[in-house]
Amino acid sequence: MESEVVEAELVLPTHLSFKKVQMYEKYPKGQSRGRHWKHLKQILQAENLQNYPPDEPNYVNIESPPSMHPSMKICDITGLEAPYHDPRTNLRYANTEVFKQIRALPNEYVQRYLALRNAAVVLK
Amino acid sequence: MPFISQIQRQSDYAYFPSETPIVIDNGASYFRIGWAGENDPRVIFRNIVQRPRHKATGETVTIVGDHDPALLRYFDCTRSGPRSAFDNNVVYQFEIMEYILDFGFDRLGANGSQIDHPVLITECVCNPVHSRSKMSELLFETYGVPSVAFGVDAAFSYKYNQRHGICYEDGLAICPGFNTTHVIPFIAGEPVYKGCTRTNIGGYHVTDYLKQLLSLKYPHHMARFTWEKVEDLKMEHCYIAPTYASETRLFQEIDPTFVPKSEAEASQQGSEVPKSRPLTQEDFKIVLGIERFRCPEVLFNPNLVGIGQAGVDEMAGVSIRRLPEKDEELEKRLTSSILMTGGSCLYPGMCERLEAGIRMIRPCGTPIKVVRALDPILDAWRGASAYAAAVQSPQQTFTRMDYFEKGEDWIRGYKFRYNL
Repeated sequence: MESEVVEAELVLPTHLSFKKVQMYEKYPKGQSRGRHWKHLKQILQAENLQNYPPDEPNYVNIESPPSMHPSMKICDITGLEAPYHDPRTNLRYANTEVFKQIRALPNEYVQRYLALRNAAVVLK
Repeated sequence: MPFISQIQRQSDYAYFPSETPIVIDNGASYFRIGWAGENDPRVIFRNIVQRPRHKATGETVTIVGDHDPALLRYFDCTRSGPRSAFDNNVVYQFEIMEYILDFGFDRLGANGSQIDHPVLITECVCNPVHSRSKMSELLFETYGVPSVAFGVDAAFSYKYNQRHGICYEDGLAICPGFNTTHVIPFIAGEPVYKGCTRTNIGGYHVTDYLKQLLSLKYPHHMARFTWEKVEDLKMEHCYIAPTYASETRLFQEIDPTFVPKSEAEASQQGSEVPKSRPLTQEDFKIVLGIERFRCPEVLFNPNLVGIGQAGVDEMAGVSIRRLPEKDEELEKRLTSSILMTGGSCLYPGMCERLEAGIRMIRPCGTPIKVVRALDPILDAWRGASAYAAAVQSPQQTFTRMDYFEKGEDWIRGYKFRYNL
């Protein structure tokens, strides 16, 4: 290990005195490192929330409802207010200069702008 | 850079008697650990882990927190990006959590055969039982901690500010965090989780939005826009406009062809810069105009990034609606003591915008007062530290025996009492 790395103590030591079980004992090398931890969706499913009264607060029912305000439409490229919508690319734009730019954009950029808004079509 | 990591190894671990609790603020952005009763956490670092391969020896090592990128050139980081133990705001990857706790305890100066101090650790609101029980298991089994208590960071922050007179017994805590934003009503000093709401938008989404916008605008600089650099840009330049429409009009009036305010940022050599002509300084400037307030606007309008939930101002109204009793006086008291805490509330202009937004949805003439916490980032830790130092805290903790005897249902019902 290079001296400056050792000096900076960048690396976590493998043996720590205050631990009862060390990492290398718990997760032996060679086994797939991506230990199959449950993701949030699986954790929530496993909780069986339908067995409990619905008015008791739990992780799922404290989520906010969808917004009641009318959605704010801003231009995807410039960020100004955008009353117009391009049917071919599905982007919103503010004025004619922006429209010219949109029509000149390659498809990759169009999809990335749409993905910002979560409006891109994802083909699975 | 306002956020600074402190990872100096502390040398006074032995001076603390074993009744002194260790207080951990386990946040999705930063991990803060320190001793109860103190004013500041001893060790602060970013809550991420990287496992690169050392180039010379070939062994895989673990690096916790953010480090000087110059030192990382000895490691092959291509296959290991920084990983976080969190999914939304819930801890799910306990292997990574273990690395982080290792590092935190090690830098606190721990020695001896186990951690002999009670631990107070923060968790998210209504943490799923699986996460809470796995966390207790980790602390009890691997570190030998005698007793553990869990609390919500926003609640600790609110109580800390209440004791300093910033907010009152009945009020709302608005906590825009890293991945999520919570609004929690407080009645008689205790959080009422029935009225709590959570939107899955936070500082991470704002930074990510800014990063995508900049890399779309400057495609040949794309490689230089690392997440950390964009976060720095966000902290330096972003603000919240009083109303989005009026600010955009301001931009249009300055020059009809829309020339945004320029903020010059010189970056180093980019490799994807067009090679057909000699590079001028113009190529290395980026201009941040309307993005300055377009990005934090996401907190108030999550629809801008496609998340179909209410924004921060609307959440306050939802939260009040969700309370079990309908009491006008109570609602007036709640809106006259609104506390903003959490790292993502540091944008200039947020207080006024929030006040205007809440005024729109409450009945005319209700008193509304929005204040920012004394220190939105560290107050959660400070509140937790004050709690841990209090005499009554042994009643809130549960020990290893409790964990094994009482089982999962009891853990589900575990609730921290915030009134001393």
